[in-house]
Amino acid sequence: MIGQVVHGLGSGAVYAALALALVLVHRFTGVVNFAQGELAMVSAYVAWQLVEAGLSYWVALPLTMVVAFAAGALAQRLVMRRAGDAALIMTIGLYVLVHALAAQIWTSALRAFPDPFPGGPLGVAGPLAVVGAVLALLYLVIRHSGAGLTLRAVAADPRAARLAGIRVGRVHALGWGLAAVAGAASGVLVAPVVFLEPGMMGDALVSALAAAAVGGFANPVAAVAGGLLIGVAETLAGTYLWADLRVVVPLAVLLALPAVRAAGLTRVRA
Amino acid sequence: MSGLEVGGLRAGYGAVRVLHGVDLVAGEREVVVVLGPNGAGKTTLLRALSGLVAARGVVRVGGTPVLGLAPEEIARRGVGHVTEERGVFKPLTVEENLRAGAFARPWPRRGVDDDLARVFTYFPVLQAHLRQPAGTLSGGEQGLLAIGRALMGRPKVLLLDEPSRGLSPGLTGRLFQTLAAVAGREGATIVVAEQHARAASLVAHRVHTLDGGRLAA
Repeated sequence: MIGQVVHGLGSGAVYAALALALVLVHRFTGVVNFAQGELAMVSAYVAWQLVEAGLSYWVALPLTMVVAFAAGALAQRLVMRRAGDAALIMTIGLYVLVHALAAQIWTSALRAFPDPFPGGPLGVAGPLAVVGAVLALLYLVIRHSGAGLTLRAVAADPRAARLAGIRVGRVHALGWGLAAVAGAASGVLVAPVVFLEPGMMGDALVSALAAAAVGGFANPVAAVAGGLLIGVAETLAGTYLWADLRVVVPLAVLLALPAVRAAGLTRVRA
Repeated sequence: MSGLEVGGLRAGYGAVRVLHGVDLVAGEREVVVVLGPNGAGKTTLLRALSGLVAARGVVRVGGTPVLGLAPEEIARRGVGHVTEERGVFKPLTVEENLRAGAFARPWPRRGVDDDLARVFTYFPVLQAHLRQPAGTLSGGEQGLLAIGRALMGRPKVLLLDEPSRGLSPGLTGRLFQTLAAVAGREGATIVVAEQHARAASLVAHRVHTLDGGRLAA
């Protein structure tokens, strides 16, 4: 039982990181980014290429984060900037575009991805530490830097932010970049488990959407907690009930949400 | 020519014209009051000057034309606008609100701490609530915070939409004394839109009335 819970926390860490990315984009730019998983998938390929080129995993990881930041910011600048009211649809377009590009570049062959963490129950500490480190980094940037201040100002009141001379478009790109960093963490963590291939983030995205919904797509802490919870619930349901049940766990979480809200267990921060 | 020059300014919402050619020239260190009843177009005038509302005509700030630029670019060219809603960043602390105001200044942003200290001399109440979320301030205090945030951008032109709203007559009088001092010491042009003439007129260099979409002296 404890072994299953620990195992569940491992996949929960993946959902938590991706859910965090979804929350960041939603809070700072007001859109649910359905392409978040695909950006994470590309990040995993970037990490794989760097390791293939001979770099150590621990050098490749921060480099991947930098590339992911640039890719996220670029996606916002090039694709999302003029989307306006069609932003949500545009993220689905971005999903299709990124997916197709990845399949073109890397084909849809399954590739083994290096797993730097030891197996067994203790191995789960690795993914959790990576997610914890990314969380801490994002917290520092958002809470304690000038760039983070512009992000929070735009989230609080975009018009007032513009009147204060804050360039809202660039701030949105920054939000997408930071979210892509969190997403990249989920990509490199899930790749050793499911193999590297363009469709690898599909299941994780569904679980992460449910996890993000736990905090109303606004509360990062609730999203991370929701991700871990869903990871554990999926593993337990798949082990002790029947294997196919794990895929309906995110759905069950979404269905249970109104009751959870009513009980006051999560609060949505505006 | 420094300060603010406005010529033939026309603006409106869709088919509805609100401003029919506003002319206004105000120099550095001047306080200009624009009077007019509700609906006369005072708010539209200020919005047109800060880029929130599309307009035609000429607007120059310190000689630089700004009409047609995005609001954030106009802010970066020296226009601070305190809207009637105030628009403080409610979840952010008072200090964070003020520091956010400094983004209107060109890079590198030196002297932010000095500017903070100067804003506190104008509005000491802000220093007392430095670490508090701005949303916990009273409406009047939020108005002062919004003015302080605009000052952090070192504006050449400061636009204030009904700054007396939410303030007692006594506090209103003090605010206008402070604004007169701000105009003098910061070298800014201050344009105040007000419904009621008394307090504003005491410190104003000039009072205009907005009527029929035009300014009258």
